Amino acid sequence: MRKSGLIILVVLALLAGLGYYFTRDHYLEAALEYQIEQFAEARVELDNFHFSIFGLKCGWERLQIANKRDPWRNILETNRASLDFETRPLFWRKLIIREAVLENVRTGSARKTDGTLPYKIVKEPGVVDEVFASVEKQLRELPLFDLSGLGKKLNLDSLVNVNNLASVQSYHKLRGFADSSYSTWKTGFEPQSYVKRAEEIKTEVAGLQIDQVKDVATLIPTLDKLKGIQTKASALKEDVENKKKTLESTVAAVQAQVQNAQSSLQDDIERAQRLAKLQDIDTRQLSLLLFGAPAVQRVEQVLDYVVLSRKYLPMAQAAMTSSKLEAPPRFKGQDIHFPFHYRYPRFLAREIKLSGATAGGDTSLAYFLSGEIKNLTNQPTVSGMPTQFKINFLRVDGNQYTMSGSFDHTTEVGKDSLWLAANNFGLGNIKLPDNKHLPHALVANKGDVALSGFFVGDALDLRVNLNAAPVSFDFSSTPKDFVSNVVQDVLAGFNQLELGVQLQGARSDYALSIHSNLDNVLADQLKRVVGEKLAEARLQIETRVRAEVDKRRKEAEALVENYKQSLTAEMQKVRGAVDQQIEELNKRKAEVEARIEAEKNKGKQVVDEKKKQAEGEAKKKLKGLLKKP
Amino acid sequence: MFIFSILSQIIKAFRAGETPAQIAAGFGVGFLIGLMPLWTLQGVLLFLVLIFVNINMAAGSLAMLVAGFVAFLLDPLFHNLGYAVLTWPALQGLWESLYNMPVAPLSRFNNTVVLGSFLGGLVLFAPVFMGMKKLVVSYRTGLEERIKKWKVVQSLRGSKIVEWYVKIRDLGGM
Repeated sequence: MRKSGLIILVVLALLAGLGYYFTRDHYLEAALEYQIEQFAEARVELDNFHFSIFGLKCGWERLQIANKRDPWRNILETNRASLDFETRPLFWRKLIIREAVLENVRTGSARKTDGTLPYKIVKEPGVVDEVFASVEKQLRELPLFDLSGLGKKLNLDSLVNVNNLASVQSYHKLRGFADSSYSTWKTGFEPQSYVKRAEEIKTEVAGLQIDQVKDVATLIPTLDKLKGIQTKASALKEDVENKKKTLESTVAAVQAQVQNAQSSLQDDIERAQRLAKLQDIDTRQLSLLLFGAPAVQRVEQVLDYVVLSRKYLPMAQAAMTSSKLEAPPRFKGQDIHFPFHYRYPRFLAREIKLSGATAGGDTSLAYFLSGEIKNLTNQPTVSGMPTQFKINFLRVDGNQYTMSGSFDHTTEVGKDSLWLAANNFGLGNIKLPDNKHLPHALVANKGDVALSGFFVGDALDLRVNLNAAPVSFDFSSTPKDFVSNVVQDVLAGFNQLELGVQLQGARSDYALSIHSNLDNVLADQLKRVVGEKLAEARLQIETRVRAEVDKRRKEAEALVENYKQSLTAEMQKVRGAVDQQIEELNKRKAEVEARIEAEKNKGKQVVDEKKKQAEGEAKKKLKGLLKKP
Repeated sequence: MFIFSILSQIIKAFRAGETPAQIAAGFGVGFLIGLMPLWTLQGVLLFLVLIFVNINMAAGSLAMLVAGFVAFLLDPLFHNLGYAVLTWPALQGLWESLYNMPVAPLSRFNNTVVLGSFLGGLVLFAPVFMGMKKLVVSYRTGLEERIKKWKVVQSLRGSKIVEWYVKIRDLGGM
């Protein structure tokens, strides 16, 4: 045993201890600030952070987390906080907080410095980005609520520009297609060549001079020659039939173009009506048009919590990797994990208690906050318990907010749910999308809102119900047309708003629907007042478009029919000539075959007679021989 | 100067003073420490052995440097060895028990390179110890004189390398 070794060890331990003592809190404070900044995406300040390795406690005097959307305000500020750690899990390098108490928690407090981060955090697009891409597309594609075309005399000549009508252009194209097809046929068909080949067959048959042939010996080679001519005739017939089929398919293609051109008519009518600002009033879309954009803004804030939970509470699938790494970094190797008998995730806060009040003194004006967060962990699959929270925010005899939720990422598919209830709160002035007929803002003094959201994997179902009264609508100007007048009259008598928002969908296909008690009242009133005028104006445009298109349609169809008749007649003529020669050939062939058969029968008869005669003579001779003694 | 000091001390130890077994043991323990990643429970314990037990620390320090280079070369081999042992079905019960003990995980035994290099070091410890012991004995009983008679050594005498060697030796007070 070496005494000097003990001295070396004591000196090293003292140096390490001193270094740790003077730097520990600053180092841990900076590290913790950085970690929370990654979570909040805004500046984080911890004051007087302290850590006791012997008592296994840590805490701070003040924590400020800036709001990334409003960097001059804090999204969360707390005063004194204390956290108790469990000892045993530290052997496995797991940090388990038994209890955390955060005092005087408040939100929205003013900051003295800008809370924007000096560096950028790169975010990967997730399910929430897909939701908003879908919903924004839906809002962009909403029909414009613009009925300014009503009540004005329609200038049909400018609204229905013939050259811009898709169906007129289609008929122009059809004519070109028909001309080109006809000209191709005229140059490639050459009916005379088929007639000439038919004439050659006729000449060859005549050249055989079948009537002059008298004996069987000459008839048989004549029949062979006729069979050769018949092969040629069959080839000609096949050529003509193939050409006929090609002609029929070309005619069918032209006919299909006719159908195509007809299908554009309805689009042309609707386009011209849109140009004249004469669309149907869709009662389902009014609320979406009016409240869609502000609703999406607020839903986005709620979904931010789900994004955070998905980012920091990974699902089971992401946590499990065990296949061998072929080339891990030098000296790093690969950690192999075995069944662990304790439910110790890398980080777990079993219980966080929150308390706070916004103002001292007059407690009737102060907001009191209380709440708790349970099982906050970065490895839910290990802890096996969902992260749950419940926060109450209320003022004595005033408004009250309750927010609760559960982030269950203990399995491969994340299941998150959020509930929010706010009673008796002031909505204030809500800006609405710009529209010449609709109000630009909604003012709601008091209201109740209830939100429930369920998120399973990439599927979501979020519902918000709002009941606000009294409400009023702000218009930017006095009405200049009768549609705006109707809208203002209807909304002036409107005192209570009941609004339902629903956002549903899965896998990049999300839809926002909004309904309110305003829909039917406003739409019915508008339809009653403008419906008749709208229908009349729409009919005028439809009639004009139909007339212009019909003129072009008839011209094009007549041309197509003319080409069809002409080509079909030529084809019929060719087929007639060929069929006639084939018929003649077949007739002559049958005639020769009949004559050969007749000659054969005739020869057989002569032979039979001679045979009978010889037999008779032989019998007579035989009888004479028998009579002689 | 630190490296000169270590070299000086080891030459001094080679010539006389500590026993060959003490020098060889110091070298063997240093070699074992040097092969493994440092911040493990067994690494710290072996370091304490090197400090407290009466073995040659200079040889241990030199061995750590040498073993560091060897570890760099053999790292893929240690990874494969560690992976094979950690995933060997017959040993799963043992690893699982160790994994669930409060202190054992501080040894980082479940890391392929830590376990592979530790096992490699244990296997190499005996040959390294024996080889080093034999080398020290040979050096003391005549190897030094024989080396001095080599033509290469004689031709190098007076060269800067030898001057450098003498300088190092003299630093050790011999």
